Amino acid sequence: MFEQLTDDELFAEVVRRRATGEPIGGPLGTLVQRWNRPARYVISKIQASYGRGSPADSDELFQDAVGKFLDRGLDQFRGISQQMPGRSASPKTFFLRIVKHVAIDFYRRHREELAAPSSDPDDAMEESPSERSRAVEMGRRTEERADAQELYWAAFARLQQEHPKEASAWELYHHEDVEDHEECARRLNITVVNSYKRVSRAQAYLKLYLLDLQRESPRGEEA
Amino acid sequence: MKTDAMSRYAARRSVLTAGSTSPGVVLEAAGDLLRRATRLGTEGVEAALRGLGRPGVETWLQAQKPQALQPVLLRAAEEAMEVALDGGDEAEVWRASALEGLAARDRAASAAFALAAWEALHGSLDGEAARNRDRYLESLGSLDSSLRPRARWFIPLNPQRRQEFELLDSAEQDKAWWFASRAGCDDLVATWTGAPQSPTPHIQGCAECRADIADAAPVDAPPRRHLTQDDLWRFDMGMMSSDERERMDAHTARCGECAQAVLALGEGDDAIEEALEMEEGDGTMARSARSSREPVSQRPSAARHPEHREILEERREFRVVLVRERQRVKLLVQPLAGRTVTAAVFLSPGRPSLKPTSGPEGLAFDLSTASSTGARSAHLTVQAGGETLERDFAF
Repeated sequence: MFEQLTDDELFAEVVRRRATGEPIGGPLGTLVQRWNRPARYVISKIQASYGRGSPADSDELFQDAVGKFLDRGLDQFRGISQQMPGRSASPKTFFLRIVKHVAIDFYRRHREELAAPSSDPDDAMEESPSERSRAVEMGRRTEERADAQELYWAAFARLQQEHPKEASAWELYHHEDVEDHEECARRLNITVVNSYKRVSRAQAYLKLYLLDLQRESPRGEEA
Repeated sequence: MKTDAMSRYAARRSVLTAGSTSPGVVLEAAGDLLRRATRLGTEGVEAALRGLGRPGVETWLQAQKPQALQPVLLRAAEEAMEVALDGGDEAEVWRASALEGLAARDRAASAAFALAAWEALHGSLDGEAARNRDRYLESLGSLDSSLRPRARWFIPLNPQRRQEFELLDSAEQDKAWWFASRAGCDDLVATWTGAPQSPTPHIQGCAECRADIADAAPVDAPPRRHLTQDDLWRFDMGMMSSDERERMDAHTARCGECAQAVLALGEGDDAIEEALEMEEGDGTMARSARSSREPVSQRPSAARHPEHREILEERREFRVVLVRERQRVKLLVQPLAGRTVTAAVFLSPGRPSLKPTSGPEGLAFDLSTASSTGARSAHLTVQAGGETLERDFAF
């Protein structure tokens, strides 16, 4: 019955059913089935942009994009359509945008893991013990780096909470790559001396917050 | 200072003989002297403890809340840091306040010590009072477990902490982490605010300092704030403010990973457009294509990173404009009033000028390649009519 409806009609039906709590599987399924081919084309282009990816990724990314479209996309699409006509164009284009972002996010997050040797399952079966141990070691290091980054940002969040002025200077100087006290001072409307002071104070507090967090973390306790 | 500390503790003896003092104050003063018996002697302590009645001690124990010391010590830690960071007149104020925090923890240790001595004289507490005593001691233990690992915060107070440490009897010294732990690690303070330097003899020999330096290293080379998924979305939808855009451009100019993501956004837009065009020509998808196609001006490319133009120079005969679009950067030299312009852009002295292309807008110098290889500035020469411009510009 949904085959006869246009995309816009189907989309309106999805939105209506969602608002009234009716099942949306029928119209949504038809809609995303129609959008499957262009979505996979977009995914393939993002895969090409990152120089990696597989058909299995493509399935996962498509499903993920459908989930996001459902979770947040419907409301976002409505909001953006109203606030910025032309930005989102049609529901289909909006969905393809979500697909694009889901794919980019996926390949950004999996950059290091995917840089490891072949993802072909047949190849994986033939991995030598040394390759396996290298992969395990790489995984461990990746996890440790992620943990360290997480702790750093947690320490920075504490700095923002407890010493916001120092945090602003640090953010500008280091995270935003300004790395020039005159420019920091100009942007923060403070003296250059104060910029030096704030960055220096931020550094000291960050180190101690980071050390506190490391000693509190499970990995720190293990050590 | 050491004499001051000695005098201060010696003066505690007067508390023992004061008539109307509360049991807690007597216990603290008695413990202060008992824990420093070797240097201060214990004169008057036993008599004072014998004078404390059981009901008074039990009531005091019931009211104890050692966990209240936690915020006191955490505040003392921050104040100790200010001693190191302030460096001005206020440093001494911070120091005094921070030391008072440590003294509060020390008085609790003295009270616990004296309580044991009191029990030795009067017999053990029992029932509810014994349970209160155990809770009190356990709470102090928990407090120490959570705060002892943070002893490095008190390093800026080390000269005073060492004096306090030396006054304690040897059996008490190791227990009093608030005075003892990291009391020799003064050299670590310099590593908190400075760039990494060659380690001092203390740091070379101190495993704790070496571990601290290694573990705090991420702060010396802070990770970049990469563009988040939300940043990319807002950028793609044209929802970023000009400040945000500026920060984003500055970041992507230095961060290959994020620049790649922005590039992928553009490639994704091309892909969406191509996918829509392919469907338009595909009869089986005609229905969906009919309903989904939007005017060309509303296609995804319309939401691309808008071209950003910055006028670097405007003269009567010509205008110089820096044009940015995503990762593409070009410099336009536009003739005005029908003038003919000649221009050259030099990335470094002695190297030939970039080759311009001539178009409807004037001379265009593509700086994208230079930008991707790390170049950030160039020198520009323009001649038009009688005017000559020589200037450096950043891109």
